[in-house]
Formats: sequence, structure tokens, C-alpha cells
Amino acid sequence: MLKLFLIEKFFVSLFFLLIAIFINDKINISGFVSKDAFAITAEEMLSDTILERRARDISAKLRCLVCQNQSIDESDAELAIDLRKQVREHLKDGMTDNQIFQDLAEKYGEFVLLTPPFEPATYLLWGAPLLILAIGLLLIANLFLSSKINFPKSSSDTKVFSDLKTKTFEQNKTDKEINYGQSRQIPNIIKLALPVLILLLSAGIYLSIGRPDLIDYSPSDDNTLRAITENELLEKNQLALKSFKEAKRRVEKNPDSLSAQFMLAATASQIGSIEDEINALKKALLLSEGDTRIKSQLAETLTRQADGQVTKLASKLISEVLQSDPKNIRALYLHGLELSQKGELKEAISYWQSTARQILPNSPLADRLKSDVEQAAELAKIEIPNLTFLNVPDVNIDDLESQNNLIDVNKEIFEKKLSQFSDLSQNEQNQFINKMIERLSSKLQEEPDNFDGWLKLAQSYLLVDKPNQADNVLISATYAINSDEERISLIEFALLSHPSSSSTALAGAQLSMLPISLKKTYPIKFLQGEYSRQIGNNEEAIRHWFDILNHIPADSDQARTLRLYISKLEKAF
Amino acid sequence: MNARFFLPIGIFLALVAVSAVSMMSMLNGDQAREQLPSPLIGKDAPELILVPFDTTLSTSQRQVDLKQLMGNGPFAVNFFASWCAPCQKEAPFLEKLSNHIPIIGVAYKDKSDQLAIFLERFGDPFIKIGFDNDGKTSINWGVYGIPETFLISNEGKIIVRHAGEITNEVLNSLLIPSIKETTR
Repeated sequence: MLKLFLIEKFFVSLFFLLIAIFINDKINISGFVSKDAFAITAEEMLSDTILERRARDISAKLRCLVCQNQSIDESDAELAIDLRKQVREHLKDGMTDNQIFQDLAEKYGEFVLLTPPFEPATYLLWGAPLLILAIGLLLIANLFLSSKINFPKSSSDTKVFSDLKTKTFEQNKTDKEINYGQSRQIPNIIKLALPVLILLLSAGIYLSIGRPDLIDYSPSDDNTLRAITENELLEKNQLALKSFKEAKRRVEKNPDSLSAQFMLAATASQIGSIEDEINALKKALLLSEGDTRIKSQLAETLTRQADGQVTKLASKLISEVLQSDPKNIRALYLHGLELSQKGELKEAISYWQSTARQILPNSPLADRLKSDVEQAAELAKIEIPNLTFLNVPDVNIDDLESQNNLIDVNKEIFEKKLSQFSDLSQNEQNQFINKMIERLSSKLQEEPDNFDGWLKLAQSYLLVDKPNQADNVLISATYAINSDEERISLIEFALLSHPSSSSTALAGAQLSMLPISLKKTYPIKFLQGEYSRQIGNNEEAIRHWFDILNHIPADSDQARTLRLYISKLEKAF
Repeated sequence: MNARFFLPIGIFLALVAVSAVSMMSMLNGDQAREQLPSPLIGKDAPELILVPFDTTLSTSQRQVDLKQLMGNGPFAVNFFASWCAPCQKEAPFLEKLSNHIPIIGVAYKDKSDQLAIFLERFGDPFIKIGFDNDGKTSINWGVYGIPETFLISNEGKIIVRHAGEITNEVLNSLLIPSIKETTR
């Protein structure tokens, strides 16, 4: 009887202990086990609290190789301090937790991870709890089954332990008979349920915090942390993140769409997610069957990922691009960079000079080219060579402003086309357009720089309800842009004739490429407002449109239209 | 005797014995630490970006181009510091090693005046020497405590990593045989 009481007591206290551990691990009540002991100093910490928390989380999972049974978060060793710094730098560079773990494991071996990885060598380690659980269940089942067979008439509480004293059972029969009477008060089911419950509870704990596929996360605050990080990002760059998410959704829905992958790459670049960008570009490259433009972009991104070092893969891509397209700006620049890194400075400079000849002096690459050429010249101890840039095309801003409203003109053309078609039957319409598409496509293969052709092709695709193709065509059109006017008509088309998430993102990218002087003109301001509206930033849209209202006659048609737009948006608030 | 009674106890005792043995070997000092295998063995040696001992050199000249050293037979990279006692102890053996292959010295978190004294007192076996004061290069090489010595093959691959000081035994039974093996 005493024995039974003790065992029951043991199980109950074990039960509560497990619950206590479980709760502590889940919601991290400090005080149960002090989790605040750490060696990190104030100057090491990142100002970004989210990143800092991630850094602490990661550090707690990395072994300090000097002291070995401490994490680098707790250690004062020189190496631990350096590793903590490295973790924070990686985080600032936008690496994921997994990438950081992997990076260090590549250098120090898996021993550096305090939580061992799940792989053949550790199957037994990770599986042991499950194995022990299974053995426990088997033992319990066995005890009950065997005692039933051996002692069919005896009561169950004695059954549990009866096989341990098989020999003495017969002798103590009288005692036991007395015991039966008392112990019957505890129903069998409870005695069975207790150990089973404990086993289930431990299984639950194992599955929620000890599972091998969870190793890279902090079990306690992973989800909240991620949510906070997303919020922070959202605040910092709401627009970019929005278009990135949209692009991601599109890719998930339609992974074979070139435009979707391309947009994902573009938006990933905006939010600084280099890994996503590279993946998307690689897929886009496959889908486009080796398009040189995508190839050169991939080479550039790879180089960016390697902190400006031209990697082997990037170098291979660059030479491929230059073979088929010797005037590719990106490839020319990167090849120069590669040469300079090899120490062939003069050759590098000559490549950069030919790059300069193809870009505008106010393009973002121009400044970099200048400083790169200067540095290389200094190192090569030669005079800094002159860079000749492309001539600035004459864009007459007054001209643009005098065009009453670019948008309406294009809309009219579009509607006129539609009305022309309305006389024909649906079938005839489609036949006609399909023929046009065929003709245009073959023509554009010969003249890929025909911007108007691309735009017409996109319009035709829209008319036969193939928006995906239209998106693809719009991307080709971006490469054929030769002037700011063309850029503007592309933006107009993308925003007004064919609003889709991809074309919105495309329009956003093109808007950002317009020179500042043009951005101040009201047709562009209108488009900027429309872009903001499409990505859901109504405040920004209203701001842009009010800006126009302040500069045009209040009784003009445009002003009335704008006021209508604005009031619609304000209602939506 | 009941097997069902003694079997769990037997398993338990066996587990205790196994863990006790492994604990004992862990407690036996540095041995376990130095035997950590480097995952870099057989891979291309990482870049060596060092602050030059000759401080007149510019930033772009800091990188020791391992490719330039390649093709002339194997070489060694030694991570050390003037403030580290085992590094002083291994100096004579490093000197001997330098008779076999060229050695690049990486001074970990060191100062040039102290390093100069160190080199004068304990000898300078290095063909090239530089500082790793932010510890980044050491991290890239998977170094967790100085001194550490790497042997790099003719093709630029890491063939041997020895953590801890070079002793006569390490020199004669590990480093020199490995050099002979790669040059064969």
C-alpha cells in the first residue's frame, strides 16, 4: 500500500514538474532558470532592437569553441566576442538565421552549433526520446497484459506490480486480499491514465520544443519576433515590401511566368533580400532560355552578394553575355571590375570607358564608374583618364507640360481601338488580333528596339485577354526604352491600361528612373499618385494629387477630375 | 532473478558508464579541443585579408594573394600573437618548419611594436606577415585559439590544420610527413 502511494505521489510530482518545465520553456518566465546571464557588452549591441534580439537568439545557439560548454552569448572569450560581432554584421547584411548557422558550421564544423543538426549521424540522438517513449509504452502495455493473463482474478492495482513479486505473491495472499479491499477505491482507469498522460505530455513537449526540424528557431518567441520584424520593415519601407509580397504571391500562383519572376527579383532588390533576388533571377533566366539582360543582372546581383567581388559564376555569366551582346552595359562594367580585381588595371579602365560611352552622365552607375576609374588610375599610377558619357537627350519639359494631359490622349486611342472592334463579332475580333500579334511578334524579333511595337503587342494581348503575356511584353518594352517620353508612355500603359500587380511594380521601377526635373511635372505627378494608389498608399496618392491641384487652374477639367479622385480616396480611408 | 526487473537497471547502468567515460575524456583538458576536426580540410583556403605589418601599404594591398603563392609547392599559414605563450614556445619549431616550406604569419590582435620585439627575440620564420586585428580572417579560417597552423597544398587547398602549439612531435609526425606526402 505504501509502495503504491509513493509511486502515485512520484507520478503526480513528475507531472507537475514537467508542466512547470514546459511552461517555463514556452513562455519564458524568468526566475525559474535565469536566462539573463550574458557577457555581451553595451557597445556590441545593435541599435535595431529586433535585429539585436535575433542576434542574441543566434548567439545563444552557437558554441564558444574556447570554453566549449558555454554559448558565445555567455562567454567572455576573445573569439566569442568576435563571433558575436560577426553574427551582428551578417544580420545587418540581411542574412537569415539559417544562413548564419550554415556559414559558421562551414568554418568551424557542426560542433559550433549547440543544437546538433538532424542528419544520419544524429538520428539516434534525436530519435532517442521517441524510442524511450515507445519502450515505456510497450512496458506499460506489457505489464497490464501479462498480469491479466497470469492473474486473471486479482485486482488491477496489484496487477501493475504483481509481476515484480510473482514469487512472493502466493505467500502473501492473505495480506493482499485485505489490500484489495482498500485499493479498489482507486479506479483502474486512473492508474492506467496517469502514466499514459505523462507519456503523452512528454511526447507533446518533445514535439513542441525538441523536434529536430525546429532547431534553428527559438521556441519561445519565434513567431512574435517574426511578426515584429515584419512590422518594422513595413514601417520602414511599406511600399517596397508590399510590392515584394505581391510579386511573391504572383510567383506562387504562376511560377512559370517570366514577368512574375522578374518582378520578384526587382522587388526583392528593393527590400534588400539578395537571396530572393538571386533565386528569382535564376528562375527567370531559365524561363527566358538565357536572356542576356537577365544574365547580366544575375551576374551583378551575385557580385553584390559577394561584397563587390566578381565570383566565378558571375565571371562566367559576364563572358557569356559579352559574347552575344558586346555592348551590354552591366556586363561591360562588371568585366572591368573583374579585371581590376585581378590587377589588370589598364584593361579594366578601358572596359569602364566603353561602359561610360553607353550611359547618361546622371545615371547612378556614372558616379561609381568615375570613382572606380579614379582609384584604378591611382593604383596603376597613371593619369586619370577622361570618361565620355552618352549625350543627354533633349527633353523639353515645357513641351511635356503643354501637352494637355498625356493620359487622356492615350486613353482615347485605346477606346477608339475598342470601338473599332465592337463592330466585329467576338470571333472575328480575336482572329484579327491574333494575326496582329503574330505579325508584331515576328517583326519585334527583328527589331527588338521598337518600343512602340512592344507597346502595341502588349495592348493586343490585353484585347485577347492574355494579361500574363502582356506583362512579359511590357518587360521587353522596358529594354527598348530610348527616351523619357517612351518611359512615360510605358508607365501610363502599365498603370492605366493594364493595372496588375506586376505592371504596377514595373511602373514603380520606371517612375524611379525618371529624372527629377521630369518628376516635378504634373503628368508625372499624376502617375506617381496613381502608382501610390495602386500599391495601397492612399495618403501618398492624395499628397501627389494635391500637389498638382495647387499648380493648375481650379476650374479646369483636370482639377475637377483630380478632386473627384481625391474625394473617392478620402472616402476609402 | 527476474529479467524484466534487471534489464532496465542494466540499461541504465550501461548508459551511466558510457556518459561517464565520455565526460572523463572531455575533462581531460585540451585534448578534446585540439582534436576538433576542421571542416575546411580538403577545401580551398579562404582569403587572407590582413593589415600589413608595413603600415605604409594601402588598403587594396592588404590582401595576401594566395594564388600568387600557389604553384610553388605547399606553404603554411600560422596564426599567432606576440602575447601568446604557446606561440613563443613553438617558435623554434616554426623556424624548423620554415626550412621545409614558406610560412605566412597572421598576427592575431597584435600591435606592431610588440610584434617587432617578438620577432626579434624569437625569430622571424615568416615570408609574409600581417595583422588580423578584427579577428574576421581568423573566423573565416575557423581558428578558435592561437596558435593554429594550416598547411596549404600547391593547389591552394587546406590539407592539415593543427590547433595548438607545434611541438617536436607535431612537426616530425604530422607536418613534415604531410608536406612530403603532398610534394611526392
